[in-house]
Amino acid sequence: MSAPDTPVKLAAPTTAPAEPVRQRTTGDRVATAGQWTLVWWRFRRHKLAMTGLVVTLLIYLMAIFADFVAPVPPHETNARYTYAPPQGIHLFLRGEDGGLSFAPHVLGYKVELDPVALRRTFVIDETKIIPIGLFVKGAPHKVLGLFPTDRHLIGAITPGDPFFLIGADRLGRDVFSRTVHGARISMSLGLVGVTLSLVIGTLLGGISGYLGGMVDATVQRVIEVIRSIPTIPLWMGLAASVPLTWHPLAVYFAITIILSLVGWTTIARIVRGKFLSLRSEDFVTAAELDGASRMRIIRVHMLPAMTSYIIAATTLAIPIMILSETALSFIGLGLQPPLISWGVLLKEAQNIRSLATAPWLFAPGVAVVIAVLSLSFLGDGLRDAADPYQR
Amino acid sequence: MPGMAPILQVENLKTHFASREGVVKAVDGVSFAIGAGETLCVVGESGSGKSITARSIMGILQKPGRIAAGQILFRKKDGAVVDLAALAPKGPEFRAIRGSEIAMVFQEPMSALSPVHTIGSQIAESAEIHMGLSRRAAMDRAAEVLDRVGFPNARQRLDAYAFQLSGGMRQRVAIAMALTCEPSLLIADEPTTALDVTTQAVILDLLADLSDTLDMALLFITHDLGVVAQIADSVVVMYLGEVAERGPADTLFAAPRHPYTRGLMRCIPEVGRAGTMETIPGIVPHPLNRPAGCPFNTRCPEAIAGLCDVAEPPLTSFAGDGAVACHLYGEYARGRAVHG
Amino acid sequence: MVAYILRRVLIMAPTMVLISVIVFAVIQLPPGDYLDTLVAQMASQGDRVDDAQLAALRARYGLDQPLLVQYFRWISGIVLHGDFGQSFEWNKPIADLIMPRIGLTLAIASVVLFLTSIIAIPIGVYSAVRQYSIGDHLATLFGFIGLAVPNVLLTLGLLYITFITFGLEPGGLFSREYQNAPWSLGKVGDLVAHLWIPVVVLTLAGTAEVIRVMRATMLDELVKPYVETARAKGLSEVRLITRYPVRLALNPIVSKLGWMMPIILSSEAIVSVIVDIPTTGPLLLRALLAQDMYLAGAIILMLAFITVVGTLVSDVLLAVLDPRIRYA
Repeated sequence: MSAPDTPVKLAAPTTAPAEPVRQRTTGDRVATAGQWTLVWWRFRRHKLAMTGLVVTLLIYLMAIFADFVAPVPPHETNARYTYAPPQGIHLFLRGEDGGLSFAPHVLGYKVELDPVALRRTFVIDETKIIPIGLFVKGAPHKVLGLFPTDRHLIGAITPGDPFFLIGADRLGRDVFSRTVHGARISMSLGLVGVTLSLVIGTLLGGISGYLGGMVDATVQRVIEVIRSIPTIPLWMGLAASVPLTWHPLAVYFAITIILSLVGWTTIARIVRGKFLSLRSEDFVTAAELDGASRMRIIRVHMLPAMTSYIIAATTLAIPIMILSETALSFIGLGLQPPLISWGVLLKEAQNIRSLATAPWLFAPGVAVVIAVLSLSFLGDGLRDAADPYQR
Repeated sequence: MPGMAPILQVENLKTHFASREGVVKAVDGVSFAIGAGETLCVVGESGSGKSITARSIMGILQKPGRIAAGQILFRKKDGAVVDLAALAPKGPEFRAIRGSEIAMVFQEPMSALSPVHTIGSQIAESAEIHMGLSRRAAMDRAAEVLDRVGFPNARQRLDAYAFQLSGGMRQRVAIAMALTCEPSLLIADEPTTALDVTTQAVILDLLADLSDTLDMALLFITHDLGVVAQIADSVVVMYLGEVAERGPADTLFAAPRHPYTRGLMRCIPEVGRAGTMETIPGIVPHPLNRPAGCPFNTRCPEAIAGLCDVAEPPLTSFAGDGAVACHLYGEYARGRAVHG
Repeated sequence: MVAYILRRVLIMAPTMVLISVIVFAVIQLPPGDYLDTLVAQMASQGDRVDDAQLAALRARYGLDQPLLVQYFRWISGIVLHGDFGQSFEWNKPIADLIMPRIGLTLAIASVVLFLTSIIAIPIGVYSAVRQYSIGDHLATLFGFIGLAVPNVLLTLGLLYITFITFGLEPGGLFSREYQNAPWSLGKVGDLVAHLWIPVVVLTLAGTAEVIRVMRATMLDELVKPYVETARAKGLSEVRLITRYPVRLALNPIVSKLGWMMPIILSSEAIVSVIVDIPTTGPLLLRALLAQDMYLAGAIILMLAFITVVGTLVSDVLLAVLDPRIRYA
């Protein structure tokens, strides 16, 4: 058997050679389906994983079009609305004649002084009706950084009217808009970090698993050492050395690299394990007997056969990256304002008194939970689907 | 064996597994009987339902398997006859029989023993729970049975672990474990398949010898007709969860009736016989995709179109020496004899 | 067995050496050295250090020597004399600063490990034995929640609830009235009131993980032939399951628990910062923010050391449990 030139199609060990497909029965269909088709079939049956996939895609879409989704720019402060509470959306308006008409709106605030606590408190003002709508005009921005527009998915119809879907923070910034923008950094940092981990992990894990011997022992020892150091203290130590004077983007990449320095070990272990088990598979032996070169065997036969496992492991590593970034930024050693990540936002909630005044500051944390859950479901589904022959 | 009161009588046993795709009828109306001290071999390919039959008798079916119909009548040592199919498999009454009056030896001696318990404690366990022995007395009993199955230095090696033993020695441990409470019926599920050939012969001899000297009935599950020829008093041939043919070993070997039995016999390689080895064409159909009529009709060289693929053949008995489920011997054959 | 333990201890040595190198690198990472920070610190307080004094200090810490020499001075001080150096921020020997805090960290980690085991193992077993039952689904759901809710958020949530309902604010080990009081039931209760949040948060995260592992392992073990053999002996289900599959599934759990030590210590660092209890976490954060790097390094090194010892303990336990390892 010589290696076909389309590595992905013939990845799995028992895939029958592609033959022209005639009238298929179910059995034939399974027997001749490509690896990816099989993975997809298995994955589709997994309801939670499908939900995870959809939600993950939605979050990434939200991150890409954050300027459009957010009603107001994330840094827009408004001293009048410090810790303004969430406004509920009302869909109908009771007219003068008592009839209901469809007019989505929120209610404005009035400020009262609490006579006991001597604190300003917001009270919903039933008389101030702020009409809201979809695709409203607002602050100008550029979609994908290219196409200038001033439309926003949702917002107050009159620009400048207060519209705090889930409340405002200490500086009167819209928590919803900020959480939407936080997705950009939190979700992309996960992707970039995982890509880095993936490259290092696959490379070292693959070399370790394929060569074995001293190389393997060394790599394994390094992994063991890294895993022996409690990650967050290590990250803290590394992150603390990132100078405060750096450009935010540089800090972003520095933090990403720091997170990947530990993250690669998990992927390396999985890749190594797969390599070890694949090395003894018949189709690899067959290729060796055929005289295929080592690199060719790795590239054409082994890597494709474990791609699905690697994808699953990678997906499962993204939420860990997100959680780590959240933790680091939260304690002030990760990303710093003006960058907006969910961790940075959650830092606003660090003070228990402000949290008690404005529990909606939890919102970025809820976003983390949703993102992590959907990515985990997605990853679990992929892992289960990765082995289409183990039914 | 005629005249001997059976120790175990299986009547129309049906064991089904409900799955999402449908009900798998792994055992579908199997009947046979074993006399005290008799050795009965159940033969069949994988998927014939022979192992499921054994597990149904033992009451150790894995989920979602359950006995859908039939009786498993077992005569206890005190003479009482119980229907095992009617007992709760995990209930105390069945547990008192299982491991004590009926015991079982499994195929894989490697994985059938716990890797983290000493062989002594694993053997002694039966003695503790069934014979009410103290730990110490149970260990003595363990040494005794280990000795009985020809385990060298039994007493000194009670502390050994399974992974320290060879395959043959492990299987001796498994047999000793089964013998601890002197069962009147021993079920052996392919106990020699995982062993090398010389060890196979030794273990077979041991089982045959134990069956004789302890007056213990032996229900031996195998796919190997060579083994059957060596030890069986009588034989049940199973195909797709049904009995194809059954009868005393000598008559069955001398004159196999069912085309499937005959096919199996031709598959036995013989030293000195020239020519290619024969095989039965085709494969065992998937249990969810059972053919209509005789289950074997899709592979049978003598299948009669319009009959075998339509009507299921009943089990036709022959005076004193067995029964066969095949149209070649039923109404059709008699009709043909009259007309032809 | 003895040979096995000796081998494990011997493997531990190079691991610790590598870890100390990494930690030393972390110490050296920030720009400038220890004395630059010190000078900056003193200057900010209006003090001045004269050059002679500076040179003396430089010589004492070997800062004028190559890095390799500095490393050996640093590590030999620790290994030979338990001398981690001096914290400039606190102006105290580092060892005196970290030891009581490490004690508390270790105590919390041990309680968490203990609680995790006694909660997660039975639930994992139940979940596997009654697969797809309501209880199993609940356990799976719980596992996902434990996985997805960040410790930070959970801690904040619990703080929020206690603040809203009891008006309690985080911080410290004891309330003011018990601070210097002798030990009493009330004082213990007060300690629990201050420590329960980190313990609950860390236990929940660990429990979710251990349930997952225990359930998966049990599902693997339950279908193994030795279970069938044991069942064929006529054992009762309870005895059967506890004596065989559970016993075997404990092995991966023991090594899992060994690997949980770094995870617990890691999360503890964050959680204790939020609830502000005097463990290593807040001290580390403070040291890092003040660039008191030898102090920070000492903490990371000690945490890693605890982890390595924890792994060793779990390896030894594994050998006790599993004859295949013992006799290998």
